[in-house]
Amino acid sequence: MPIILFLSSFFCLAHTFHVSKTMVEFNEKEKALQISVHIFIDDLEESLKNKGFTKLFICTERESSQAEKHIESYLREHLSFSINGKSTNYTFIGKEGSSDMSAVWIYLEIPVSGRIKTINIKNSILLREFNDQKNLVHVIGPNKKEGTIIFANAKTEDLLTFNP
Amino acid sequence: MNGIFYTYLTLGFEHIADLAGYDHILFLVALCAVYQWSSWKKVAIIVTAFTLGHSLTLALAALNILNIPANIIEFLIPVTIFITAVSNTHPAAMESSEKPGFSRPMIFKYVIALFFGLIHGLGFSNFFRQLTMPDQENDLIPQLFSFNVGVELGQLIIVAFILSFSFILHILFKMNTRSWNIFVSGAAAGIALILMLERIPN
Repeated sequence: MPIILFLSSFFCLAHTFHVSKTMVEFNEKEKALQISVHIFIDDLEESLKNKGFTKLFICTERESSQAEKHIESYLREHLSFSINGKSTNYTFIGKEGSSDMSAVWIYLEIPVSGRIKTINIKNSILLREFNDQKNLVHVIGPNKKEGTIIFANAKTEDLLTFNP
Repeated sequence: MNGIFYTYLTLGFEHIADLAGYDHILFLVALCAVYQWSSWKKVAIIVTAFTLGHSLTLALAALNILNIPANIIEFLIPVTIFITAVSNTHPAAMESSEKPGFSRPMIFKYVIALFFGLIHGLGFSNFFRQLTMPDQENDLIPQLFSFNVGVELGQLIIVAFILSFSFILHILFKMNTRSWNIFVSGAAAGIALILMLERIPN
């Protein structure tokens, strides 16, 4: 019986994939880091369910009034930024469903004063729930310095340095 | 922080080599079951033909020129594995490994790999679509290229692993290529059948 269970979980795994993506862009004019996070709704709901928050119906007409609060606190726990060595507190701007409604886009903003020398990113979105979870973060920093980081179980933190 | 090439090469490589999404690996197993290390050139051509096929449809899907529902593709992928595995049991398939690289049965094999590659590429596209950021359309071509290089590298390593494994069995148990082929093709066909049944589109 355990063998059958093992096999069936193995077959269910075939080709589902778990990915989140985050865009971090420094807006020179607004003096802010503008952040958009894309997370699959079913994965996020499953994770929140494990914490005891059920029936959230994220991005549907039936969406629970508590949904946004839970998403925000989940995100604050699993995605954080330190600028020039100081931890920051981002503003939760809002969220909307993706075009096919399979995912939610969450918008965040961090006001920045002075020059950005370093950004430290911690990202553990859904890593506890899914072994194959990958979190892509694309950064467009000061002076348009650009690149991508892949966060996974082996890597949950990265320090980016920006030269003047 | 890495550039497009390294990032998407890694993503392509990990996608094909990921045991959780083993259906592409299973296809490579079925595709290479009748060959040994001595015919590595043929295997390299087969794998490259497969890559050409899946690169083409991945690009077309990523550029939104081709849009086929994921559930149909997910069903067709085990169908390609099943057909390839069953065709390995035909005497001509076994003999083809003895024939020159560009004999008729071999060319047929390359065409099959290319054609089935078209289906697997659509499978990759469902994953690839999740890896692109909005407002980054200009980067799509380098992203696609790097992803495909990663997939091809992963495939060559998987195939080298399969050929080495059959070589070790040959040394340890004197297993001949014929028994290996029947053994592996049977296993691949069985798993493919289960996947097909699970994925019948509604």
